Amino acid sequence: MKITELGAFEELVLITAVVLGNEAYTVTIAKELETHTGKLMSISSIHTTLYRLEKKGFLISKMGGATSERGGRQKRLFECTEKGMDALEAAKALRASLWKLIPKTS
Amino acid sequence: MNLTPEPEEYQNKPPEWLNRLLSICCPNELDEQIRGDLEEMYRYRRTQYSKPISDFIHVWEVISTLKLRFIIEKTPSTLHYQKDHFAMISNYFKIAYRNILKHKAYSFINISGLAIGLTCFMLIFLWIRDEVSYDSFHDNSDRIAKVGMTWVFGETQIPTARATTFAGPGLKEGIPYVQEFVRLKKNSAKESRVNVDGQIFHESMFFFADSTFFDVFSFELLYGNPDDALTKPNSIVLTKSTAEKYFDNINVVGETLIAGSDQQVYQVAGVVEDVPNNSHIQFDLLASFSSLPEASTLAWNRSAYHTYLLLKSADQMNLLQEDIDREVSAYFGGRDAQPFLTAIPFNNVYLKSPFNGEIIPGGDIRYVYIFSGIAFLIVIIACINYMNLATARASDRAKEVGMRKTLGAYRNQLIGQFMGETVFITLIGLFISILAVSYLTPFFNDLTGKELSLNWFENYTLLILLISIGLGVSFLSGSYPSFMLSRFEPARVLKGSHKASGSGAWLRKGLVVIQFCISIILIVSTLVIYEQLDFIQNKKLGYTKEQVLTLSVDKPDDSGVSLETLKQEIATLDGISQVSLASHLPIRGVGARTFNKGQTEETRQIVNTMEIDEDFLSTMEINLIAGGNIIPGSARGERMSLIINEAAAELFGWSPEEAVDQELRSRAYGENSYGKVYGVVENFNYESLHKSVEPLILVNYEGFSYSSLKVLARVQTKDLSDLITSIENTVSSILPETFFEYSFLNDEFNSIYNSEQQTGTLFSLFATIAIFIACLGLFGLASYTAVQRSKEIGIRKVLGATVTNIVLLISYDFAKLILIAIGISLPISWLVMNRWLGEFAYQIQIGWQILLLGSIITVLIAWFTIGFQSVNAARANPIKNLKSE
Repeated sequence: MKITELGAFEELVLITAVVLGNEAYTVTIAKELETHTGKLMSISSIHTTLYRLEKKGFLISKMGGATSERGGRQKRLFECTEKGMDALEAAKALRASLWKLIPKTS
Repeated sequence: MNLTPEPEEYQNKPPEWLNRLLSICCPNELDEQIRGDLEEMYRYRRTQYSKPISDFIHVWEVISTLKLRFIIEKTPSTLHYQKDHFAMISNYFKIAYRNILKHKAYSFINISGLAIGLTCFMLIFLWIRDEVSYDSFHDNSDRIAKVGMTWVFGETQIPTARATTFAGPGLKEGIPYVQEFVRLKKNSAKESRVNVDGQIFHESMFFFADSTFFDVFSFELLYGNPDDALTKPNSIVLTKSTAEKYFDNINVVGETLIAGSDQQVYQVAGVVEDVPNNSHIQFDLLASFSSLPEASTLAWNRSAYHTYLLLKSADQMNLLQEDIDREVSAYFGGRDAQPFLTAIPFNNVYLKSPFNGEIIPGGDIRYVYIFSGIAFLIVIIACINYMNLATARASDRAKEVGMRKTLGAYRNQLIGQFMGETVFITLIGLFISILAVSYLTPFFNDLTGKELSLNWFENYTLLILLISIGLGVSFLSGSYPSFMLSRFEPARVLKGSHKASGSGAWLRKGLVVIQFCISIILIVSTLVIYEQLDFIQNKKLGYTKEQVLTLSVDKPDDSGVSLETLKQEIATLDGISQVSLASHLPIRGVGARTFNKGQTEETRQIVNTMEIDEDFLSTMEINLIAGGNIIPGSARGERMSLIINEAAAELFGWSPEEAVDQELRSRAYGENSYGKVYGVVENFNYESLHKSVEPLILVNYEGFSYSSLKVLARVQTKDLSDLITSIENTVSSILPETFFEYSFLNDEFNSIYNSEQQTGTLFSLFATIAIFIACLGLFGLASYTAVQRSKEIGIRKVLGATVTNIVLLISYDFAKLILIAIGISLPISWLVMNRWLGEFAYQIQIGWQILLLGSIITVLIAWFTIGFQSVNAARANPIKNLKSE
């Protein structure tokens, strides 16, 4: 049985999606993660993770508007579900409770 | 920010070829968004990095995106976007793979049969490509013609590859579209002595060539000027390896060497790249034609010059012969015994030359055809195996076909699936055969005396050929099974009432018959070839070829005095019973001179001639049938005395007895030189056995007219090596400049049948392979039948059939097919081999023994193949086969 339903990278992607709100799709998420982690993100890894999250029911998606900078192609916008928020909260709570248990060293 | 002058639009777009790659790999709607993402991401990268780095990252992005197809398609939101081709195709692969593993024996038979067949095919292809590639490397090869010459005297026509000094310059002047000519003359001695700073070398490939040599041919000069390397008298061009041998250096222009019996000094004027193997013009040293004394004369009396004409355009090749004929008859003005010149295209010289005495012995276009035929036949046998096994096992696959059709497969998809399986198996076979070829080429080269190699990068034609062969084989062997398998009706096969179809069985039987026909023809041909070779090698020739040691010597300047000494010295050695001097070995190519009876010019005939001494007949053990031997040193005023053979007596219209004491005159030995016929000998074979014995005159001419002679010594000793050492010592003490090289007459004799020997070996090899592949298929079919009929066999055994009954029952089916194949193929092989034998003047009759032997071999092999399976089936315990029903 899984202890938590979110992997570390999945959690990051999901949080970023929540942060970006209406503008959450692959490229923005990748950009955002790159700025914060300082590491190169590949589109395909973000894609994979997004679809996995969608399959788990944490995200829903819809096709969004096309812009000229993507060659007039549509994008798939993602939105966090209630279930997704719950999972994030749970993960955060679990982590916090564990942090509390770390003995304080002077 | 933009440092380069390129427009911004271009700068911020990902490379076009990557987009194209994406649209090929991901044609569906899903990729619209992915591609959008990628492009947008690329623009973002461009704000951070330079173009090359962004491109690099983008490539990596695209490649990793390709895997998304396989991950995402399973998610609910995208499922409706995809037609599930991928899953279906991977299922096909899975089934193909499982089928190969499940039926290991059948897969082994199919794959190994195909691999062996394709290996043969590729080896033969390499051989053929080498044969037909001769001389094609010259830029002008389609504009060059070779001119050969035929002398006609009465009935006799002697076509030779060499023309006279006149032919080249004469034709260039007479025919406007002849742009250039080249004459090549081989240095007359068999081995030319070359002296380089005191070091002596013996060279057999020493030629003289006109200065136009490098204009006409595309031999590449490494050093020296191609325009005038061969212009000045006594200049010489060396090949790279010859230069290295002489001077340890290749840039040797300006060095000198001394060559030939006249001790001429030559100056090196150029170094040429080594002559490729696939050139019929082979040389190590090339001296300028102007060094020859006859260079400036245009004569008709001596044909010793390989003549090549360069035409202005390739289309004129067709007109050439007509114009040559016109020129020649204009020159001779309708005289009787005129020679004629024959032009053949340069590219035909190696394989199709009609002339005697080309620079190197040519190949034979017929063998090229025969072997390409064999290559295809072997591949066909392998394809038939596949067809037979695939259709025989159809009922195994019937359920699968029914199930797929029920689930909505179209027939086309099923055909595709089965074709795909064939391609899969063919590719495995092809791969194995490529490995095999690269391991086997050295052995094949030993066998054929060629230097073949499988070089992928040098000749992409091979790659293209392999791909097309792979596809061709797949189509040939896969089309029928896939059409047949995909025809099954689902309702019927799923109900379980499917049986192996009757019509398919007929076709299979037909194919087995074809396979065995091919095998039998090859086996019988092999037997005939070997029988014929054996016959030739043991044929009574009219002289004894065993135990004769031969040496080649150049005639020294003192007109044969020291040769006589040499002969007598050798004769005194232990282990030598007889020694003789002659101008030629009685094996291939003797000379030819004109002779006529008395004063009458009309009886002038060109007759094969050999010069001999008085010991020739006794050394060679040739029988006289009339008259006597030449009397040595007979001082009767005539300088030549003659012995003729029966055929020559007939030519001049004498019976053997009449011929004795007749006189013949030959201009070749000087005006008014008469010779008396002392004796007539049996027709002994002095040429290849392809020809029947032609008239021959043996001339005893004081001092010999030929410059290179043979010593023939009859040996009677066990201790050969001692004898050879003492002969060598004798030779070097009397003729210190001679290059000592001996051979035995019977080895020389066998060497002229090399090409037949090689053909024989290759034939037997391919025949073995053909029958092996055919038997693999038969084995597969027999074992399959045994399994299919296991219930029937079980019931028969329960009802009292013996093992023998059952073995006979199973074998009978196949034996019938083999017998039909024998019936069809024996007449065919008889006809084919009779044509081959027709080339020999002395041939065996193809008796019923050979045909019977061929059939028995085939039947035995086939019986052995089937027998194992049928005995196994017959001995099985019936309970095992009957308990489940």
